[in-house]
Amino acid sequence: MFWTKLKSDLEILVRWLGVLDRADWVWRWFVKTKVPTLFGLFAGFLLVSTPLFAHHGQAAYDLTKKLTVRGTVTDFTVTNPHAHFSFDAKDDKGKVQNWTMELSTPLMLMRTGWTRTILKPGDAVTVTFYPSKNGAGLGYLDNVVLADGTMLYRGGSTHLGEQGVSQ
Amino acid sequence: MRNRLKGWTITLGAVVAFSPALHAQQNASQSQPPDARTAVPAHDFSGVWYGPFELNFVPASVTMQPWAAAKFNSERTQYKVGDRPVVKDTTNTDPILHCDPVSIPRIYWSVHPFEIIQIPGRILMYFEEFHTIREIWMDGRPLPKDPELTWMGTSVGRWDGNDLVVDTMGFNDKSWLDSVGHPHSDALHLTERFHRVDHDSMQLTLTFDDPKAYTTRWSYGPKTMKLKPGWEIGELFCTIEDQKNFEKEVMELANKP
Repeated sequence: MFWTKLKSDLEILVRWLGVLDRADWVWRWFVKTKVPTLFGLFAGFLLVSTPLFAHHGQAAYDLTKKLTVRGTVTDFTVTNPHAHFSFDAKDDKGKVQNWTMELSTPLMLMRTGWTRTILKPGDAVTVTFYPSKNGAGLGYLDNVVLADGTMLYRGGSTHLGEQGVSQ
Repeated sequence: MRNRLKGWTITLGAVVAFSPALHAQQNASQSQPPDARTAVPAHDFSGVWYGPFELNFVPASVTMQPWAAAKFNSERTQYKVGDRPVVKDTTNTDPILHCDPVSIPRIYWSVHPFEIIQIPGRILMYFEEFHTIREIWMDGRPLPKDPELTWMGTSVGRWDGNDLVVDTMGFNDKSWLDSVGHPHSDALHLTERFHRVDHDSMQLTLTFDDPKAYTTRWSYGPKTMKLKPGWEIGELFCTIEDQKNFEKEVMELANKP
């Protein structure tokens, strides 16, 4: 009973506002003019939001593959031009593999929550990264989660809340 | 029936009237009246600025002169961006990897911020990337007719309303124009327009005029940069030792067949 009343009220209101009389041409106008623009904007957005990487052989990484691996830190080197850390992880056959993760520069790391001692050998970490195409155990870090739940990103511009590229 | 209609109209009207207020709650800074903290400063770009990393300043519609295209193809690393060339390998001839200076405008969109320091007669830009300083003469002098060719060129600036417009010539031809390796010649005339949008952001538009290397002039931008209060420029020098260590610890892994 309530819903019937509500429906009839809305119908009265809509007719009173004359919306239904205008609705058809409004819809046609929208589809003809706005949808192609929106589609173009969307397609353009997809194009520019493709991950772009600069020098230092980011070409080496398979950007279509994002892996998440649990492991133990073996090394953390905070140096220019790119800091890096290594960790041991068991592969799916139970064999231990050592990975090296490429990070941003020390100055940018420090601006995004890292410290020089935030990773220590023996720390348990969950690492998400793009692996190198050659299977040599190198990765371009997306993020690392520490045992206490802290999530750290690579340190590049993307995770400063800016649009653009992870460096 | 009339009363119900009236009731609905009032309700609808109230919802419409209050929704901008809801938006204003979520975007408080936009609805606050301008004050000393949020007003657009006049003739003032002081502070530490940061823009997102930008890779390529040359649109596909701009053609290189033949020698420039040959140089570009032989020495840059290729990137896949939509329909642009595919990355071939990890060999990289980027001159900044052996510590050549990063010139403008490439240095604006490095990973690191820069600071604008305004002093009488000059505006200094202090880039964190490799501790680079660049000065813009604001004393009304014209561009030199026969400048010495340098990494950063010679820059003169003026105010155009509240915009800062900078002209630079006298670049040597040793640096890459951008991070994908576009070349430029020593005839490059770069114009930069800085437009203060609001207290926390500015836009930078570049105009390139290098007939020796490109067949047309073109503009790039506007690109937005954000003010970073509280950020301080840190020390970052490029050293051969750092580059060699990086090569050993990361690049060699990447270059393994």
